[in-house]
Amino acid sequence: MAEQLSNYKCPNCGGPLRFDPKEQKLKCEYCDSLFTQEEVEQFYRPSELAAASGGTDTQWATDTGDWSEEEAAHMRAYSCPSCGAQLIADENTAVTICPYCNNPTVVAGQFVTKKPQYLLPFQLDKDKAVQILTQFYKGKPLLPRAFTSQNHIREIKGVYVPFWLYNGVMEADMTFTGQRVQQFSHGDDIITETSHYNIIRRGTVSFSGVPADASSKMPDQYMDAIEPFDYTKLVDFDTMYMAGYLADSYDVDEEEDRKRADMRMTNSTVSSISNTVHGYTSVAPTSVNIRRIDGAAAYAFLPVWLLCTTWNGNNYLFAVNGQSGKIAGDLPSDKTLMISWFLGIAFGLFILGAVISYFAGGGFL
Amino acid sequence: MRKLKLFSLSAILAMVMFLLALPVPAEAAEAYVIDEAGMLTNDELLALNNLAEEISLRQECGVYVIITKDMHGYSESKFAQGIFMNYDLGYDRGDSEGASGVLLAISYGDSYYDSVAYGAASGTFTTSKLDRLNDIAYDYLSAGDWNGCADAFIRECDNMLTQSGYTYYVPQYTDPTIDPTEVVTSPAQRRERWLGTLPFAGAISAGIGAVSVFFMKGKNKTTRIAKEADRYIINNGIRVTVSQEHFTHKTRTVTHVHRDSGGGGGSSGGGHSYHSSGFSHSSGGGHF
Repeated sequence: MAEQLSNYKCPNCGGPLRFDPKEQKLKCEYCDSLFTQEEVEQFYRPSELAAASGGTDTQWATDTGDWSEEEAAHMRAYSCPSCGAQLIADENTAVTICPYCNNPTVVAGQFVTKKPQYLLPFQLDKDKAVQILTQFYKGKPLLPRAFTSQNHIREIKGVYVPFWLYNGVMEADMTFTGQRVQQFSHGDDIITETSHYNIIRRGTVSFSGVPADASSKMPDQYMDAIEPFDYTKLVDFDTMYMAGYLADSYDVDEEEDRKRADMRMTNSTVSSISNTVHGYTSVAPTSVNIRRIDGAAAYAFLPVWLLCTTWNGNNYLFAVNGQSGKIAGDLPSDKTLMISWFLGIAFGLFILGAVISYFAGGGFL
Repeated sequence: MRKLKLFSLSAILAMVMFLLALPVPAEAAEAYVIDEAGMLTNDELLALNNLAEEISLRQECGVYVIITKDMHGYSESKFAQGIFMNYDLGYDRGDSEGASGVLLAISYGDSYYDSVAYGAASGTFTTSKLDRLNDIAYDYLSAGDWNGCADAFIRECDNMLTQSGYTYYVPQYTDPTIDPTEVVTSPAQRRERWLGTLPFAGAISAGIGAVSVFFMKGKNKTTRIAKEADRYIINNGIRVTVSQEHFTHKTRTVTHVHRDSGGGGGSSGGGHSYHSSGFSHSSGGGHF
């Protein structure tokens, strides 16, 4: 059974330790000392309490863990009265603004969240996330300039977003009709022969780690758009990785989220099985029966840099995959710029077309 | 923001001004002397037009001189005829029937000239008269005197009309038809055709503008709901346990193709056919 630490202070100076994505180590905010998890654990071993359920079991499971008293003692819970987000952070991480809705009146809440089994540590630090977001704003001709200038990019927050990771085996039973067409000529006749077939395909498709975010505050299209995450870097949950970051607790249970995962797995099963039908001029499915014969889910924290910004009375959310740097977000479009671009392009092309037409037609002046 | 509004207003204003500046076909006075090749000065052109107009209205027979840049796709034998019909020449009494006129057509690029008469005028301008007019034109053209050529032609036409006792009448024949695919030759026709292309140019430009802006707007939206999970299929995760294909039946359609056994294809005779009754010709134009 793994032992876990939940309160991290620098063994050298007593300053707060934060997880540094670049170094993949804990770094002291005061003296910049770097420590591996093992080094810190060794230092604090006498005072450690065994973690409750941070096992190394690699099997997917639908259960979620509970925090040990020691772990919970060093975590803080917050709630956003505006959007209802339930956030947690270690005791050294100040939470003043809700990362989902930009509400600045986040209040302390009751620590009731479930503990995840797995966690994917941040690979990108804040500077890199800011750089990606800044780059994202470039090359967008309709983006209002005031939006970027009034944007507080530095307020981007590292958030562990709760996810359900589903695996499952989908069983498919599909039938198709297929045609093979041959054409040849005989004298003055063109003869078209069409051979008709009934095609049967049965089989299974196995999936692993289909993600579905488990927070109702996080719009699904954002998390879908920043996929994929590299699960080979998944680790057993350890509060060490929480240092300096927020985490959201899940409020969409495994059963509810499973519908989305099943829909995605069903669609992929249909296309995968359909792709095994070859050699026909045309193929059309006549019956499709897909069912899940096996499956389970694991609760995990995945790293996302989030920026919520308000512009013209509307909230704009941006999410950066904390591992790959893939970004998603819907930027506003300036209506005046849209009209200007439309008129500029249309007018320019019209003049060009008129001039070309004039000379191509031989002119008349 | 103010700059953007200013830019938008400027673009709209520029478009409106451009549209207002488009040459609109005007009910301008009929041109009797047209110089597409720029061989005459404005003063010469004006004086010649006034002279030709006065004679044409007085004699009730259009007298024309047209200098083109090239042959406009016509052969030498059809050049003067083609120009006459495509420029819609000829005097009439306002009912667009029975046009009567005489034309000296000169192609600057090909150094070719010819004269032709049409309608009631063809009774006066017989082949010998047209040959005479061609001779006069040659004398001036070979000397490079374009203004003198046009002036002499117009005045000699006036003499011939007066001496022959010409009177206007509506002949009993059908105006020759011009193949609609024929080269458009007159500036008015080219202007009309150009104006006809502008609505299409406007519609296509607006369409491209709208698609471009739509594309730019799309760049501002990067979120999307995932519909599939292909990337989460494990290695060798697709197992097909039953793979059967059953032939059910065959259908057959026969399409009979008519093959034309005649060789060569070819058309039923090309070229334009003009009614010989409408025109009188010279015995042939010439080069200068």
